[in-house]
Amino acid sequence: MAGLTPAAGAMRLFRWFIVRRIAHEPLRSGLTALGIALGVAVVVAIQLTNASSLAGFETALNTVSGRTSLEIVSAGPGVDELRLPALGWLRAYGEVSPVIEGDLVYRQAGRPPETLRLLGVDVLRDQPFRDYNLLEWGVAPKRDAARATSGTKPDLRTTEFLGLLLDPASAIVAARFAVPRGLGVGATLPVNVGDRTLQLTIRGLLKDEGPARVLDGRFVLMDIAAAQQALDRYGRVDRVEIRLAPGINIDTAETEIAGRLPPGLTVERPAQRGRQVERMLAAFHLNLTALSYIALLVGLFLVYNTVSVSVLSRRGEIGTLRGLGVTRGRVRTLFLAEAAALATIGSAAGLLIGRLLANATVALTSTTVSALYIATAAAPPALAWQHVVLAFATGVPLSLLAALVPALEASRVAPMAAMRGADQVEARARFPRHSLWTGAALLAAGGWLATLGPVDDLPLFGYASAIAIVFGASFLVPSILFAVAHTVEQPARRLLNVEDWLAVTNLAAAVPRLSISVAALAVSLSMMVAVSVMIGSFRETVIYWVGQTLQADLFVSPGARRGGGAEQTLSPDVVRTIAGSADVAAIDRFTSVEVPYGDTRVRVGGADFAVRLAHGTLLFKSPSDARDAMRRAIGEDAVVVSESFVIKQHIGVGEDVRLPTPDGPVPFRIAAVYYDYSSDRGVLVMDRSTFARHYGNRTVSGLSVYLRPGTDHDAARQRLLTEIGETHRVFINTNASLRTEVLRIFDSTFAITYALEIIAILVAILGISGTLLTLILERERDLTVLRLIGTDRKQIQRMVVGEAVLIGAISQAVGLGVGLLLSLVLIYVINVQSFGWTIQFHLPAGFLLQASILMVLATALAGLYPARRAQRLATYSAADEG
Amino acid sequence: MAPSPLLLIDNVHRTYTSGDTRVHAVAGVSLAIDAGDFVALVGPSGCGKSTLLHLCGAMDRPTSGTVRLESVLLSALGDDELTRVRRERVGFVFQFFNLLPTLTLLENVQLPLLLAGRRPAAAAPAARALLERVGLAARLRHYPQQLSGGELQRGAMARALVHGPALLVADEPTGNLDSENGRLVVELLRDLNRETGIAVLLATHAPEVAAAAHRVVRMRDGRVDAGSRSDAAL
Repeated sequence: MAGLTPAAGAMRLFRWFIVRRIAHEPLRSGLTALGIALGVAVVVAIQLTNASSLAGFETALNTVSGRTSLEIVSAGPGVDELRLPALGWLRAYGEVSPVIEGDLVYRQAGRPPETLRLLGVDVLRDQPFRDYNLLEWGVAPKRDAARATSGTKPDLRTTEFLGLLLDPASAIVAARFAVPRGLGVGATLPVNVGDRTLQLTIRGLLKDEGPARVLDGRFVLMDIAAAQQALDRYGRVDRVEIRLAPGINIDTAETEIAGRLPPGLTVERPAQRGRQVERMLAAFHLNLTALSYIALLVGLFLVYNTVSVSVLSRRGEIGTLRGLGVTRGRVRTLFLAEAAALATIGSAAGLLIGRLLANATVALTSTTVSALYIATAAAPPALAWQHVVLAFATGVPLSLLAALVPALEASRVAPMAAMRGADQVEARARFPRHSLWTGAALLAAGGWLATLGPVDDLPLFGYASAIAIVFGASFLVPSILFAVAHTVEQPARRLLNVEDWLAVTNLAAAVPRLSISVAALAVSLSMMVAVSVMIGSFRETVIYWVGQTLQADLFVSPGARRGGGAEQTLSPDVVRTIAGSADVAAIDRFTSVEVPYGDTRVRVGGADFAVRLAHGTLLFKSPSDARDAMRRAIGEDAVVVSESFVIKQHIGVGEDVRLPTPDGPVPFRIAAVYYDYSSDRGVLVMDRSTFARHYGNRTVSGLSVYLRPGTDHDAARQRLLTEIGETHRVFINTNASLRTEVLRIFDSTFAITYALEIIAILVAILGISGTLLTLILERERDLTVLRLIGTDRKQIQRMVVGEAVLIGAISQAVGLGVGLLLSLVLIYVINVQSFGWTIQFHLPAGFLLQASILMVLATALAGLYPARRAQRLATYSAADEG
Repeated sequence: MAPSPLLLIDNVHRTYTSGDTRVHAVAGVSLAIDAGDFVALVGPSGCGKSTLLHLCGAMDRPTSGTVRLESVLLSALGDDELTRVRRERVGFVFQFFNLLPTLTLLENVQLPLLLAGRRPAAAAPAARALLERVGLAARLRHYPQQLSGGELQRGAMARALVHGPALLVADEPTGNLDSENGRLVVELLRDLNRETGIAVLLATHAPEVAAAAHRVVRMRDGRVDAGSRSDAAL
């Protein structure tokens, strides 16, 4: 390198020594980059997915809020319009405008139902808050032919805008929604609200700006009175928005307004709702994020393998370089640079794969998020610079960390020994005492951490416990490998074929080299086992719970429920029709509102306690005489609450819970706690009469119907549908079909979990293949000797595949053990602290057995390529080359 | 009619191609070795000794010419058949011993028998007996890393002989040993040759090793030196 600067020299060495090698072995380089890419992709995809579920809401919040500084809200059904005149003093602080929001469901043949966000505004007052830029508009000539007008100019005057919305069926929609669906100005937009179908007329198309960006353009603007009518919420608005006049301090204004508001009304900032929703989703997001990092962790083992292979297969070259004067530091840097190069390629690819994967993960999670939490956008957000940073900031440094051990090994290569190939003989492994103690200590720490409570309602110590168990088990892997190999070595010689016995002896010798790969596979398998046990237990618990609690014969819900959220209601005449049907013995009407509670939001429901006690049942957790307690709660300010509420709010039976009502906060005594797996959000149910007293006589959101004895469920369902007629759109599930539906939703909720796990396992299997390849390269000379003393190619192949099977079996066994431990942490710590659910432990033995067999087969397959390489490597010249 | 030689090499060529370069490692060698022979191949590095050993030991096939071991035409055999020949009829000793580090000495020596399908219970006594014969009775349970160079090479010889081969091929068997251990190994080779009647073909640089052979064959540039086939005085 005479004449070159050190940097140029290093660069040239990198090109000659690393770049050419990467290019020369495209398969190995490609697989490693793919491993990193998959790991990074999963992390990016989950970040995008989490962002998408929040982004849908936040965009809605921010764009709909517009320039709103403060808002006046009321707990429960919204602000009574009759109270608005008394709030005239608010105008002293700035512009004031009432708003109503709700969800409509649009159905078009061949497409899944789509939720549209309806915003009803007082057009005259709304202008300071939001900008509506129309792309195209038109007023129906039939209504006022003399003033019929249309056009495309965007700067419509307020009065003209008002003119567009005069008709109660008039709506303005986002062009981004309308155009792809072939809807234009003048077109009819059929939507469902509750069980009713409305025919709205499109009067204008909004540009993709401001509120029109809500939920990917699924936005409908109406006049406030028309919206109240459409949503069947006469006399109510959701909130009164305030845009503070210039010069007014928001903190001062908020304090002053809070002091003057009558009971039942509160002032808050729009962002507060966002924070509540964010908090509501925090545990769900944290769980997904934790899962996503497993794939990355496993991907890093691949980097370790690849750089190890690179170092091992080039010891001679390294020796030569060292002999020629290349320093240890430079050798180390060279191999780290190899990892960095592969990680850079992998991270870049991971970013793109992550974006594609996000489409799938959003699709997999949006059902859950929509069903359990909030309406959400169906597509992930675009990649932003922070995702690029995330991809490279996780992929590259972690890969360098993974490459550090083999790079250090490379730098320690002794020049002469390496050139002679004399340093490749691997010493027999010694019992790894240190790692045994470290592993035991970590496992003990994991056990202790599992006993600690949540931090800020998140199971951080639970995750720390899981991590300690995973790393503890990883440290135990060398001892386990050592023990297994040495225990079975002699029996294997007596009982197995010579090739299988050789596989065992190879394993015994390669414990240090194999430990990391076996640990990686065991870790990903243990997560699979843990998650399977958790989901299996959860599923069994839900099946039992459904069996106990779904006692009604039919369940009626509004047609817009699916996709429209729990706020959808049934029309009073539908309820009357069902209640009056000859088939029906009793109905239990359920009504609910969502109210803020602390820093989150809970659901408060009203149900017919008497009917529920007579016909149905809840699965009570406490007290022991819960049914009596529920009976005593009829008509009282008392609630029965879901288990997740008491766990998350650290409250119990007999204590008071203060709930916001339209008349101000009211204390309700907790009469009983029941198991509820339909939602991880707190649910508080009071008798219907109590509910009506505090939250008004709200329309019903669902009915449980008890039929007269001997009535055929399906026939009764058909008769009820006929009686209800075509004007109302309702879903009636029979008991059996609802049970099926519950499990369908359950399974779709956990589909993402399995998808992430499978990716982690695929990456781990790539890792096993890589490790075997490393071992084969290390043992080139031994393989040659075996060939020379009469081992044929098939025996070599069988030996390597046998080793792979052994590795797979040990990994699976360790994975099963650790997975069972982790499942206890998941079920009894993380799950309880995240979601507040009690899950009964259930071992899905059949599934685990199948998975174990599949796993061993998969590792056998992973051994085929190294086995082929082993056959090729065993050339006759290696043994006698000095 | 005289019995046919154990090993008969007739006008054998072995050419390696590497890119555009062709190397004639062995260029027209003919040689006959009888049962009980002890033949030393000598010559400078790169003269083709090792290549010739590989061809004789059923490790490789010639580019042209024929190699017959016990009248079997090795050059016509496929890989599996060559493997069987090596497993049953040939033993190998290398400069770097090449015992498998994951097995004990006893296991290393048993291995050829196990590969040939013998049961461990039957293989162990044969291996033990040979190890006793080469003076390693006290080292049966030791791993290769725990043995000296001389012990390793004696162990390697036991492994090469345990399955009762007809031909022992040794490539620089003393090349990695001090003179005392080298001497012991050569004596052992000569004794075993005499006791068992096994034919020995060894390649060496060392004149004192070559001196132990019945016959010395000199090689240069892939050919046998004219007039080099001398019977060594015993």
